[in-house]
Amino acid sequence: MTIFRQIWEAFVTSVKGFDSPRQLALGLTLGMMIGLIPKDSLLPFGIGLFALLTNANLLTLLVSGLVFSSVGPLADPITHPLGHWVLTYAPFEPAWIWLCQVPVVPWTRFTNTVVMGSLVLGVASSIPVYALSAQLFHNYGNALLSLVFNNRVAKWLIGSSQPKTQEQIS
Amino acid sequence: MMRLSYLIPRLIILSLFVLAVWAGSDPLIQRAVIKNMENAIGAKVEIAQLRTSSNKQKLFVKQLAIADPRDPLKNMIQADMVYLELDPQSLLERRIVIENSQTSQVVFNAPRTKPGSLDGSSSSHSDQPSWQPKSFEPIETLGRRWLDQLPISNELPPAQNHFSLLVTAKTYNDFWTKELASQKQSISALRSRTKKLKSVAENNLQNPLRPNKLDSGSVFTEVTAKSQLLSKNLIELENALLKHRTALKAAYKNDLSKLSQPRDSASFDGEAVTKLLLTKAEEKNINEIVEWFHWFRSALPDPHSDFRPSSERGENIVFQRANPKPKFLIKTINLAGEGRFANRHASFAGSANHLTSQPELHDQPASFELRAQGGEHHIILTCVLDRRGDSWKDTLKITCPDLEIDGQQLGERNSMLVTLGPQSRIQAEVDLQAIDDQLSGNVIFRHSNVSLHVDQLNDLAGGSTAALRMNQAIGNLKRFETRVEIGGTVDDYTYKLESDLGEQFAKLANGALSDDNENTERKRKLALKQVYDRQIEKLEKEVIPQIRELAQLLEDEVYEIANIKDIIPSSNSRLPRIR
Repeated sequence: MTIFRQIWEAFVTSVKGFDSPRQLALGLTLGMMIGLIPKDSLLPFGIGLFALLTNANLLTLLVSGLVFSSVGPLADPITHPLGHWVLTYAPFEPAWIWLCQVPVVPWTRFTNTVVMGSLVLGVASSIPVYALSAQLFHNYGNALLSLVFNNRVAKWLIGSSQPKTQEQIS
Repeated sequence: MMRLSYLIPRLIILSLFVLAVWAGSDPLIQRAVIKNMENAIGAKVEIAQLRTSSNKQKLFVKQLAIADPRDPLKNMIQADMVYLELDPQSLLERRIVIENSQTSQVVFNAPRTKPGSLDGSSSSHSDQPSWQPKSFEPIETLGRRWLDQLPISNELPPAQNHFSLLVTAKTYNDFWTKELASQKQSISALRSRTKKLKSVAENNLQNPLRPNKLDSGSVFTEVTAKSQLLSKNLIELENALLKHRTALKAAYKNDLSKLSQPRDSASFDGEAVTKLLLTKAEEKNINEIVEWFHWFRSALPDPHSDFRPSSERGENIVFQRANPKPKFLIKTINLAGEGRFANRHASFAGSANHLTSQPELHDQPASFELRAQGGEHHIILTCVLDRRGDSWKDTLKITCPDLEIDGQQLGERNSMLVTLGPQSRIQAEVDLQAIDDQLSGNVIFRHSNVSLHVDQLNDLAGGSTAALRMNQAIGNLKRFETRVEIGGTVDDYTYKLESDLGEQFAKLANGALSDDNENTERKRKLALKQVYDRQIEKLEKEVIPQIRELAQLLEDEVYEIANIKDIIPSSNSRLPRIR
């Protein structure tokens, strides 16, 4: 039982997150990219796998992914022309042709204008989003964490222990 | 270095994900297949169960039903069991290529209980009316036309009572009977008158004081005139005799020439007989063949117009230089089922090849190769549907090496009705092409072991007597070949029928009727000669002796009158008349 308890605590700890604003921001940024890209592509799953390999906060990843998935189709008027331009831009064409012939890559559906547009939009906005969210988490992280974890549901789900504060981490 | 508390939950999530994918792959694949196919076709796809092999390269599908996007109340195809073998290399390229597949209990166009459209409506997407068998001229019109084209010379030789010899003979016979009797009567009257004149003259001579009141002079003059008239009549009769002979001879010659007149023996025209006998029968076959072709052409939906893919976010850019290939391709699907071929229930087996949702990206046209077998019957069918270019190029080839057909009636009751007996066999070769809607090609039917019998024949064509004679002759007709050239469009096709049946039939029938005519002609000539000879004999043995006899009688009377002439002047001059 000890081993399972340890595993559960480790899982809860990871969800509660490390209080580093950068990790929270990374989770939010990767979640945004996952959310924006249509799910019938292999790309969100690849990004999700990449997120698992980093120390990104899984909770912000999950919340961000859900939020951007619901608002993602609203961005189609931007992502479709953007993806169309990228895919039909002649200098890039040899690269796309080469990618078309690489096994597994076609499952990413990168030749779809919305997928490509969402990817480009996600990648392009990742640095500003990361920087902005890191700053926000730095300034308002503690208040946000208290808001999130100081309720009955959160306590029931992940226990009563309070997350570490910014100062405790540093 | 990443801490264990980071790693463990991530490993757990990954493991759970992999486990979920591995354990739930079949339902996931089933859902994915249904979703993708529905999106591609635009109609409901139902799969009762889907199982995959351990390496995910083989799929077993139970109770597959794909609704027809053009007619939601029908299934385009349904099968009890489908086994699919996927090409793994193509899967890596996000293409579903089915290398080989087996099906069982395949049914095409089966009705559905619930609408198969994705929006649940039962209205048909297709604006085109379903194909209807083409109807050409009614058989009654063909029969009437056949009768109309029968040549006038087909009339039989004149009937015996229409011979002019007989008419002439009868006329003169009546004439002779009447004239000879009249002459005889006149001569008798002359004789009695002469006799009286003679007795008066002799009496006057013996007793001049008691002369007879009768004026012997005037009587003598009358009798003389009468005898002269009768002589003249007899001469006229002799002339009439000559005329009679000449008339009989002329009539006989005329009748002979009528009988010998060259008659067009082609009572039946081959082409017209072919049209009458085969048009309806072959029309039915051609309708069925074109219907098959139509069915095959419509069985393969047009991805550009029939499929209604679900709206997708964005647009898929196709890079032509990347040598794109179809996303969905069935290289071979083996079919086995049951259906109707050539109006017979038959089990069929074969394959459909190169079926794809993007034919323009594939190097092979779609094709169906089917072999239908029902009892001894055997039909091989190959249909190629080439939708790779801008225009559709489809071909249908059917070979039927040997098919026994049921007895059937050919022609039409009011003109000529012929029974094609059972157990006749047919060998068929069909070769049709269609470029877009333009149809061309030909169909060859080779009939063998044929037995024909004329059941009914219109009186204009000789009636039952001629039918009887024809039946004796057409028993020799054992095989014939029909060639049909097809043109026009698939929905409104035309055809031209050529067959040696008509020629053979007409030749045999005309031969039989011609032989019959010759026999009749010979008999009639003989009868005519007998009539002529009898008439001449009658003239020589009956009329001429009677004329001679009358002439003799008249001559006696003339002699008698001449004697009386000697007596009359003396009797009148013996004493002067007392005043």
